[in-house]
Amino acid sequence: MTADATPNLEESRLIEGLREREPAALREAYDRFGRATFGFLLKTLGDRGAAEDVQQQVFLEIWRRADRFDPERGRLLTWVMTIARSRAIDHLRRRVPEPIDPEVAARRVEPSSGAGEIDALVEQWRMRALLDRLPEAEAELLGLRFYGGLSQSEIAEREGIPLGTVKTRMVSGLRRLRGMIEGESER
Amino acid sequence: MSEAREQISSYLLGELDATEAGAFERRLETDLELRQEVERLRPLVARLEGLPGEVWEAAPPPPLVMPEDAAEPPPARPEPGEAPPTRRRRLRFPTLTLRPLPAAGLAALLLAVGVGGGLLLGGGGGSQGREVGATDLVLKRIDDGPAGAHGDILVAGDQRRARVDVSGLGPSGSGRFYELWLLDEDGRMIALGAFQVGADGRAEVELPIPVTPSRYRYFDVSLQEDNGDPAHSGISVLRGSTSS
Repeated sequence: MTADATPNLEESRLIEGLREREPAALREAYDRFGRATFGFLLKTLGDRGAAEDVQQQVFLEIWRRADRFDPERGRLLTWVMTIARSRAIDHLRRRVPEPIDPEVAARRVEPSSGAGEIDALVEQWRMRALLDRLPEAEAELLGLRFYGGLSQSEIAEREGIPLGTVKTRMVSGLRRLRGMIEGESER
Repeated sequence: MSEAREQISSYLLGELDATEAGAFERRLETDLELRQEVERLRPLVARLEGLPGEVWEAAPPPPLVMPEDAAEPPPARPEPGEAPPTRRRRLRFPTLTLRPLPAAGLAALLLAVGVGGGLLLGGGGGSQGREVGATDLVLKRIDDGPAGAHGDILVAGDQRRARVDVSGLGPSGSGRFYELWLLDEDGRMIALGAFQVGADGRAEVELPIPVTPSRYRYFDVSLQEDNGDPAHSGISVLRGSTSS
């Protein structure tokens, strides 16, 4: 089994379910992508209430437009994050106060600055969605290393597992994540 | 895994000392496959190191509000003796005058009834001290219930109230709550009351029973969205027979 084979099979079923307008498929999409889209919206909009509102808009759009999603043109995660990005920009444009200089408003969302920052956030939260799909043991290990700042030896001691196991899981997690990223970008 | 391959993560994470790193890099010069593997993973390590803390510790999203047109189709009528399907809509009972209340308000009111009325069946969750004639029923995990979820219902001897004790459920959090139902095989169902489950996954509430429970086949616990819709969400987490 390749690193990204299983997610592709799962994704195919999920896409089919969304196209068939199965409520369970929408719930699954939410379980799979909801944390990443919400984190992105919270960071981008800077307001929890607004992020919650736009989050619902994003998944309503996924529900309504799933039949237009073309798997040949990209992966589901990319499509979902694109919708989140678009709705976030819509919201930022709407909430710009009336008296503001239009050029200032434009810079918040246009490619020269605002959109570039938003794209960077999209990439960060796309990674979050991929981390969520790793086996729990591997995701936890990566978190301890890259967020907790622990060395592999410290992780082994803390978790009570052999150092060799930590190293094996670390490489396995990195490979699997790399495979997912390559799977996301190969289309 | 060879020694060199076991060192990939240590090398990428900067955990080799100078001597070990030098030896590993000499190996990279001659081992094309190893070099390709390292080069493939190196940018990923850099990306992970650059991820801000808020991405790692991302909060869970708010509950999904299902679109209005995501109502699920009516269930097929179950065969005699077959447990009713869980994904179905609730029949409206005009006798339940609390229906127009927002779901969260209903939950609060029913909890208030439980607290104000006292634990008529006796607290503590055990069989000691319960009133004579009370019936202890088991709730088992079903369909959407998390692994380890279970509960029991102590129905009073006069069958007019019940103490529900559940554990192993996901916290209801804001925007969601749990609801207890009576279900029958012919599709009849009636809501008995709503309650919250805390971070410990447990809840113990006392609820009034306005009908004779033995006229229904199952007690059912559902997870509901606080969206004002009084129908059964279709997400059943626990279920048990109304007879012991």
